[in-house]
Order: sequence, then C-alpha cells, then structure tokens
Amino acid sequence: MELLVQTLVNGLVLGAGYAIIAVGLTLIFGIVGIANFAHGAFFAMGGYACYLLTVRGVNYFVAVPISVLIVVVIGLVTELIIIRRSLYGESHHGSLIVTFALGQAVIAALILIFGPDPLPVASPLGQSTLRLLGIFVTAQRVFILACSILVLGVLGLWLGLSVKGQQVVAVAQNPRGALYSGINVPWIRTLAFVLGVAAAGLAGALLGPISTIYPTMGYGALIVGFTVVILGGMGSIPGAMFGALLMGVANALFETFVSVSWTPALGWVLVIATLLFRPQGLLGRAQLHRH
Amino acid sequence: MKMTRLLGTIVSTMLVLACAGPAPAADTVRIGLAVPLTGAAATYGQDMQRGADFAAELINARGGILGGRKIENVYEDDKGSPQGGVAAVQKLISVGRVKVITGGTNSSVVLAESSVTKGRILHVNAAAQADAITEQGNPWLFQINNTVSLNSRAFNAYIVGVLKPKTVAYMGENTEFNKTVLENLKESLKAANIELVNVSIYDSETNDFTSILTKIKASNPDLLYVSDAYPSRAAQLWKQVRQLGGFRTEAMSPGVITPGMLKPAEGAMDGIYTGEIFMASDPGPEGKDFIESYQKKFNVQPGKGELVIFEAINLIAAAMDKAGTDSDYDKISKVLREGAWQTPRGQLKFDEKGRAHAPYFYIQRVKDGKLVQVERTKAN
Amino acid sequence: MWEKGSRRVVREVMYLAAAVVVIMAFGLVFSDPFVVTLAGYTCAFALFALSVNIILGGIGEVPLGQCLFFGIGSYGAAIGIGKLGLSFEIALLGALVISVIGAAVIGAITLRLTGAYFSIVSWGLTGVAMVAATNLEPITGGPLGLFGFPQITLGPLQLGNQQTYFFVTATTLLVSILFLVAVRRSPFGAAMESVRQNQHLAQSVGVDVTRVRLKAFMLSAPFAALAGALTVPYAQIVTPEVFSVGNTVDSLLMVLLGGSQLIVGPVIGAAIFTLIPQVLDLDPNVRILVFSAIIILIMMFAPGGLHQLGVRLRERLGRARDVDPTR
Repeated sequence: MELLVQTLVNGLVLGAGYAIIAVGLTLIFGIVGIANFAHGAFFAMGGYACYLLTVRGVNYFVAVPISVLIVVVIGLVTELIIIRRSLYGESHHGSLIVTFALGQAVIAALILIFGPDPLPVASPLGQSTLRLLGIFVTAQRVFILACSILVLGVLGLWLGLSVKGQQVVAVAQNPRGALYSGINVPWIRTLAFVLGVAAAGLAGALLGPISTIYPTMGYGALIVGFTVVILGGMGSIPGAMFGALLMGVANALFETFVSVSWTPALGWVLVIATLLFRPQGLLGRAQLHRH
Repeated sequence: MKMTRLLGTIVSTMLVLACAGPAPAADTVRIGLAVPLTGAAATYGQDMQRGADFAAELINARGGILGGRKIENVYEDDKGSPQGGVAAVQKLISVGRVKVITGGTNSSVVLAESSVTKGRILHVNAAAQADAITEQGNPWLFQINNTVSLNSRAFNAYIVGVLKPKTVAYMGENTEFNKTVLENLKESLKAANIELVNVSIYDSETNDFTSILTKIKASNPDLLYVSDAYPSRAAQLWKQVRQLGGFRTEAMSPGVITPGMLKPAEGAMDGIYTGEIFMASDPGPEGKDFIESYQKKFNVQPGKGELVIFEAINLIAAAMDKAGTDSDYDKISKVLREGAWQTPRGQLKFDEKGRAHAPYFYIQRVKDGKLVQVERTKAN
Repeated sequence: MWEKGSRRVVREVMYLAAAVVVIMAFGLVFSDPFVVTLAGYTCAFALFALSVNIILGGIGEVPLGQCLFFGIGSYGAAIGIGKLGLSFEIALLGALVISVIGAAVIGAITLRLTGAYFSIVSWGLTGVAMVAATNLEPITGGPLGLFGFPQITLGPLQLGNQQTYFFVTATTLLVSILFLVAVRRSPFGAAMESVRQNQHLAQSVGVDVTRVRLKAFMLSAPFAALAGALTVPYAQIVTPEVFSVGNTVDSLLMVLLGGSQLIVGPVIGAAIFTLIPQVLDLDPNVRILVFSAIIILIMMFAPGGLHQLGVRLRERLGRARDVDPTR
C-alpha cells in the first residue's frame, strides 16, 4: 500500500513538471496556431541559462527568473524574425519545419558552445529530501510542484480576468473576429508565443538540478509536451494540467507495477487511444482542423 | 534546364571525388582510426585522439618502424552509427590508404566495420566490448579492451567473495553491453546463492528514475548494481539514488566510470564500487612511465580510452616491425598472437579469438569524486 | 509553358538516356570502393527522400514518421534473410507488403488529422517502434541488432560487389523516379496536387480527400521500405537506430534543399547533402547548424527549395533582358 501511495506521489510531482512544459505548448498551439517543434530547444536554453548564472555564483532562486527573462528575449527575437515570416508564408507546413530546424540548430549550437557533456546545475534544494508520513519527496520536486500550481493558476486567472488575457482567448477562438473588433492580432500572437516559450524555459531551469543539463535534453520535453497536449486537448490550459497529471501518474504506475522497458511506449499508446476515441482530448474543444 | 543542373551536379561530384585525398608520403605507415568525433560518444573519440597521437609521437621519436618509417594517424568520424562506421572505414582504406584500422568504441559500429575489414585489412578494435565482435572468428581482428564478460567475471568475483550481499537489485539501460553484464551477474549470483530481487531495464530516454528506485527500495536489497555507460544519465541516476536515501552497498558495472561522469554527479557517486582494467592513480611499475609522461604532456591523467588506443597503436607498430611488413596481414596476425607484449598494464597476451589478456584487474571505489583503488586482483 | 507533345517526349527520352549514361559511366569509371558504395548508399537514401516527398510535396503533410517504413524495410529484409533463411528477394517482397498494410492501418487512424497532429503521431509511432525493436530481442536482435548475414543476392546480382550494389540502387532510383513522374501526370497525381493546395476546395469539387491522402500514404510506404532494405548490404547490420527520427530529418533536409515540387528534387538534395561533408570536412555539429539555418532561410524566403530559387532567378534574369519601358 505504501508503495502505491509513494508511486502516486511520484506521479503527481512528475506531472507537475510536465504541466509547465505542456501549458506553454498548448498556448502556442491554441493561439498562434503552430506546432512549436522548437519548444524543447527553449526548455534546454532555460536550463543552460540557469547553469550559466549559478556557475557564476548567482543564487538559484534569483537565477530562475533571470533565465526565464533570457528565454523571453530569445523567444521575442525568434518570433519577430523567423516565425512571423514563415507563418504567414506560402506553405502551411512551413512553421513545423522551421521550428523543427530551429530546434536542431539550437542543439548543434549548444554542443558547439558548451560541449556534449552534461553539466550540473546547483540548487540549494538539490540534495535534500522531505519525508512526510513515510513518503519520500525531494525538496526540489516540491518546489516544482509549487511553481507549477502558481504558474498555471496565475495564467488561468490572467486569461480569464485581464483585458489582454481575454484578448488572447478571443484570438484563439476566432482570429478574424478578433481582428475586426480591433484587437492587434499579430502582437497577441507574439505575446502568446513568448509566454509559451517562457514556460518551457522555466521548466528547464526548474528541472535542471534534478536531471543535469545536456544539449539534447529538449527531446524528452518535446515528446512529453506533445503527448500531454494531445491528451489534455489542444489549446486548453486546464487540459494541459489534467493531461500532465494523468501522464505523470500513468507513467509512474506503469513503470513501477508493470514494466520498465515498455514505459516509453505508454505515452504514445495513450495518444493514439485519445485520437481514436476522443480526438479533441479530454478537455479540448471539438475542432481538429487548423489553418 | 533541370537536367543541365543535375548533370552539372553529377559531373562536379565526380571531379571532386576523383581528386579526393592527397597522395601520402611514400615513407609513412598510415594507421586509420574510426572514432566518434561527434554524437554522444564524442568525448571518447577525443580521448582516443589524444592517446593515439601521443603513442605515434613516442614511436616516431624512437625512430619509427620498419627501417625508419614514421607512423601517421588518419582519423575519420564514425558518427556513432554503423553506417557512419562503414563509411569511415571505407574512406580510410580507399582515400586514406591506411594499412590497418583501429579505434572503435561502440560495439554495433565495430561489428558493421568488421564486415568491411574482413579479409581485407588488419582490424584492431581498441575499446568496443561486445563478445560478439571477437566471436566472429576473423583471423585479422583483434581486441585490446576486455570483453564485457571478462570484466564482469573479474568484478563479480569480488562482489560475491568480498562484499557478500544477501540480496541484489539490478538496474540498467537497455543495451547489448548491459544485457551481457546482467547475464553474467545472474550466473555469478546464482552460483553463490545470492538472490536477485529486482531487475529494471530502462530505455535511453529515461532521466527520471524515481519510480524505479522506489520499487527497488521496496524490495530492500543489500546491494544496488547499476549498469549504465552514459555519463549524463548515470550522474542523474546516482543523484536521485542519493535523494532517496541510497542503499547499503552500491556498485556500478566495471569499465564505465569516467571523470566526465563523476563531475556532474557532484559527490553523489561517492562510495560506489566498480572495476577497471587500468588505474592511472596506481598503475603498478609497468604503467608509471606512461602515466607520468602523459600527465606531463597533457596535464591530466589518462583514462582507459587513452590507454587502450595507446596500446593498440604500439602493438600495431611493434607487430609490424617484428613481422617486417606493413601489409602481410597473415604474418602480422601470427606475430601478434604468438607474442607476449609489454604494455602499461603489464604483459599482454592474445588468445585464439584475438582478445587481449592483461595480468591484473582493479577493484575501485569512488571517494570525494575520484576513483580510488581498493584492490588489485589477478585476472586470467 | 506548353510544348508540343512529341517534342516533350523526345526531350524526356533524352533526359532518360542521359541519366542511364551517367549511371553507367559513374559505375565503370570509379572503381574506388569507398566512392562507389557511398554513391550506392546515397541512391538508397535518395529513394527514401523520394518517399518522404510523396507526402510532403504530394499532399502537403510533414511525415515525421516515415522512417517507420524505412525501418520495416530494413528489419524485414534482415529478419527474412538472417532469421528465416529466406532469399533476399522474398524477404524484400514481404517487407514491401508489410509496409503497405502498415500504411493502410496507420493512415486510417491518423490521416483524419491534419498538420501537426499527423506529424506528431507519426513521429511517436517511430518512437514506439524503436522501443519494440530494442525489447523484442529474439526477433530483432535487441539493441545490438541483426548482423552476420549470408551473401545478399538479388536474382543473379551479388549485392556484396560494390559496383553491382551501385548499379542496382541507381537503377531502382531511376525506375522509381520514372514511376512517380507517371503518377504525377495521372489523374491521381492531379487529385493529390489539388488536395495539397487546398483541401476544402478539392473536397468541394468532388475529390475524396481522405481516400487520396490514404492512397498517397500507401504509395509512399513501399518506396521507403525498399530504401530501407537496400541499405542493408551497405552496413551489414540493422539496429533499432534505423527508426530514429534523425533519418527522417535528414531526408526532409534533402527534400527541402532540392525542392519539394520537383520529382528529382530529393535526389539533388541527397547528392548535395552527402557531398558537402566529404568536400568541406566540417565538424558535423557545424554542418547541422549550417543546414538547419539554410532550411530556416529557405522556408522564410523560398519554401519551394532551391528549385524555386532557380526559377525566380531565371525569371529575374529573363526580365532584365526585356526592353520594357513600362517597368
């Protein structure tokens, strides 16, 4: 019984990490309308930015927001220069290829700058473990859980209550209508993109101390992000959270009680099942075609 | 006009390839090294480059071989894939005009390469460890590093005989290397009546081991045995082990711990037992010279990667010299098999499958982020 | 620009003849095994790029999972000759059949989705395939892979011989190109093009979009599988890495470099892609960086690839010669 509870807790904190990545992806997917295959690259950049700061002695808790800011700047530049041009370009699959190529380029650049070896990110919570009621949880993961709840909560509130937030929702639901009502659609899209990749960068900075950072760390984040987003529903933030928790717990349960070697296939099986029986995801809108 | 462009591309291709490769100086004996210069194993490739260049330098300083001819290393990137290895070896043979192929860290890659070198050229596999490579029965194929089984047997003897755990849990990445490690472990444990309470095999993308470790903890083993050769993942793994409280005794598959793994682990690997064919910090009398001169030149101690390629180059050169030829591979192979060779590891001999046997095996333990020798056992 | 039918036929027969001559010349002039086998391998990989372009340039989706069929081809051939003792021809045929069936099943499930969904799911399936190949050791040889094959022959042709290997792969490539040109000119090809340009419009004029997409997918699979099988004689080993998305990425780069609207575009891209590293001897990470940057630039400024750039350039040059006072 204790093993089951521990496993569920493991799944929960695992899902919290996934949620931050996924919410960024779903924002971009839902509002900008592109599948951001460079999401993993921004995740990695967040981790590396955090490393650069902490290795120079910056306190971890200060390094995290600065890393996010760095990723925001890079994201802004990327969106303005590259994404816009290819998004409104000729071929409708342009954004997919561009973001994919961008991701590859970033990985190659990281290898050239930092080398292929993994690097540690120091966090004061790194080595300590909390023990509550016989359940082990590492302090860093509790921190991630807290951040996750905070980020998702703030984002949800902002989207629902603030003017800009509601504009973002409007653009997601009906870009043309939003344009006609005077909303600056291109800038809203930029905002959404930047927010989305900022979330990825945050996740990278948070997960760095747990897993060390290395150039291809983005691949895992990318796959997780997409599977969670499809599961939870494209463009839905509660869906991202829900999907993330579901994935986290499912992975933990499967890995502990069924089979370790086949666990990587689990996510995809869930995705295929979702697409077969409920294509819009658990909490998504029933709308599949994107233009 | 599309055809014109296509033709143009083809003609220029042909011109370029026809002019590929400079004519080698007639005097040098060229040694081809297919190593990973890119990809996950790139650090091993770089280590090999250093070790090989160092060996060539020393040999040439002593006057070269075969009547004063210098040896020259030619490198090609195997890209860590079998196809890359095949292309690298083909290029080394055709364009590089080398007399022997060496290098090799990844077993699948070396297997692919061996199908190209078979019956064509001498192939000295420096580091790849799969037993299958030398099981093929190629008379011109030799292996310097211990096979997985040789390493495992030596290390398991220590576990069973000295550490004596009552129960053992195993976790490892899903690779051929680790599968062989597991099989050997199972055999050794069974023979000693030690119970293997848990086997967890994960894939290469895994970087979160909490579930696995939780499950293992629940079965409460005396010893945790981890088999993973990939530095970043191993470092993460051990950090997570530490965060969950660790285990009474911890061991890691022999031959995989490198500074590149210990550094990012930041102390999380302290206390782990492992084994290796060679130790820079306590090499025995035969190794002292090698360590000192290497350290003097590069300001860092040589690891196993540098060692095996150093030995490979030296053995190739010495065997060619003794056989009096750089291309009669039957003769060179015979010389290699019949000889007893002085290397930094002591006296090396080859068996009929082409595998090198060194006199010693080292049991090590990690202390303060460094490998420390526990015992020097006699290998067979 | 319309040429008279018979003049076009003559021109195309000349292209064909030229291609045959080039292939023969290449194979006979170059005896260096490195060059010849690399050319052979490049031809096989170009075939894979062709299959990717059936989807990309054909119906306008990005088939990130195309290496699934490539892997089926490689493993099918390897298991056939290695484990089941079949001849290479039969193993190859079996692999082709399996790939088509697989494409039918997968296509039925995933082609209902457009854009990113299809790409992501097809990518995910290759991930599952890689895990399966690594775990199912008795069938696939596990992580070390399948190796130690007997002599691979195609009919009377010894694929172990370098020149024969090159001739076989080059001829297969040429025949495939001819076949695909024929497809493109058929009504099916026109249907594919209409789907690519605007699905809804195509649907509204009576094109059964779902069926066209499925048929295109099923058409692309055997080419990918054939390519996969033809790479087996080169490395003499098949590992789970054959399902790695890196192969598809490389092929996408080839297609985009050469131009997705040109049937031979992928072949040009394959030639450039394989050639440049040999000539320039770049650090591979620099190569990836440069190629990715090129792709980004292409997608930003010329999504039709180098071919489109070439067309635009020609137009510009043509225009410059016009004496047109109104411009």
